[in-house]
Amino acid sequence: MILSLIETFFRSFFLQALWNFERMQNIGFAFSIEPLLKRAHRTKESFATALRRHCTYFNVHPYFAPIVMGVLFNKEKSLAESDRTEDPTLTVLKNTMGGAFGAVGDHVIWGTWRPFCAVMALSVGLLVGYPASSSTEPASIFNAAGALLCAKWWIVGFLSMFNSIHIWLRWRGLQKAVSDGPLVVRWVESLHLQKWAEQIRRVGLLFLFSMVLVYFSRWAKSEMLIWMVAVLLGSAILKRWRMSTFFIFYLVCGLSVGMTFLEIHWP
Amino acid sequence: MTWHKLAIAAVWAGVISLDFTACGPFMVSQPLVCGPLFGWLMGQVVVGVIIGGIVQLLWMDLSPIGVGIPYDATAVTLLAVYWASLPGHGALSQVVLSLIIAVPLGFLFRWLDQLARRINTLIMHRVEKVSDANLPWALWGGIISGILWSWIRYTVAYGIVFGLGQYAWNRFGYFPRLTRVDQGLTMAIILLPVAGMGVTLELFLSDEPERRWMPWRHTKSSRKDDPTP
Repeated sequence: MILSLIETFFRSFFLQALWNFERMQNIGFAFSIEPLLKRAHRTKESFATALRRHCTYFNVHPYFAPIVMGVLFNKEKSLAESDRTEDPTLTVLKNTMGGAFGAVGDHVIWGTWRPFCAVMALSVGLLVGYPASSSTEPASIFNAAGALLCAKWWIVGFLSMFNSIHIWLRWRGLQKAVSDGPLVVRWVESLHLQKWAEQIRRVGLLFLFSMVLVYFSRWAKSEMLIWMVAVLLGSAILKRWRMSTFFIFYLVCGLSVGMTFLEIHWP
Repeated sequence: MTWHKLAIAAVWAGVISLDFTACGPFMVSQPLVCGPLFGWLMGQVVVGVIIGGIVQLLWMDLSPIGVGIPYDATAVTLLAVYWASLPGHGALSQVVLSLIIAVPLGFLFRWLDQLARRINTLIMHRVEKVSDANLPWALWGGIISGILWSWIRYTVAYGIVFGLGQYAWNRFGYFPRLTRVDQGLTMAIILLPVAGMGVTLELFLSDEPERRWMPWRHTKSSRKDDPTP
């Protein structure tokens, strides 16, 4: 069983390799769940029917897909052990779980965990590779040594932090779903992901403020500081007003060029 | 940069972009990772760090939710790093200039991604048509062809855009610009990360915007709906 689990775990990384607008992750899902289906179904016919069944529409957050696979393994196993050839609840359960875990994953992973890890890595990288020095010199991030240190923290820090939760969620989720079946929902509930997301956002704000302070400290004595505060608040307000980042980017570039024409130069 | 180096850069850009859907995603395609990484491969870590940091902060909120395909910030990072790494283009104003040119191309790469996923539908239909006995092998074939198709399309797209940009860059890059424009672009290097921090700040505050952004409004409406005296 452990070999089937490991194989499904590794195959689940290719869930979206053939993502398409018509049935989304259908091929990736069937490909990933195949080793578990082989375990559940003893005859070639029932295995082929089951594999074909999982080629239908499916979409979920990729990190939660192994949980759905584990639950469906349980359902397929009980179907294979019964006299029935089809179970209509199986597809309903699959799509319901896909929708629910998709929403949770989008909020917790894409909306919270990834920005948090990025902000943390960025702020720690800046703190290490961007030490405060004279306000009249260009920042040390523009020097090779500082940039290299920064890059190491960004790459290693971000990837290890983000993927520790990513890999754990995939493997532990698969294990729990195979052992608990549909009751794995209780395990997911017990993780209190929404509550954690709220706390993580608060800590993320602290890291963001520390990054702002480290960055601003460089120009503490210059007239640039007031412009930087204006740009910080202005871009936050513009974004709040649903202004595109594309527009904010060109606005800041235009403002920077305009400032030099107004005799506001690099400090 | 020679054609040989351009080809190597396109191959690496294709490999990095596999992280989108083909394998993982392990977030190697995030600008703060792929910027310094690609910069290091191009021999310009500093450029990679500056561009990766700016793009990551500005486009922190991009997520592939449902069928929505987000703006391609990875393409913006890779293109900008490549052009800014060209010999004689390491000045800070040139780094911003390369970003200014690369930013609209994020939409082009998003459109290419949409197109590629439509072609995935054709591959998917071919996989579905095989007999039950051959379905396991067809699934392998489908996944492998999906990965290969992803890598080839990204490599070719990057190769063409890198090359066209390089051609234009070499032709027009040395055009005399006003000193103040150069100074302004250099100033943008300081202000763009600040704008990115502002965008990220809004992202972190917008979890429950009605409560966090304007708490007084929320309190008012809550009281209105509250049946207790």
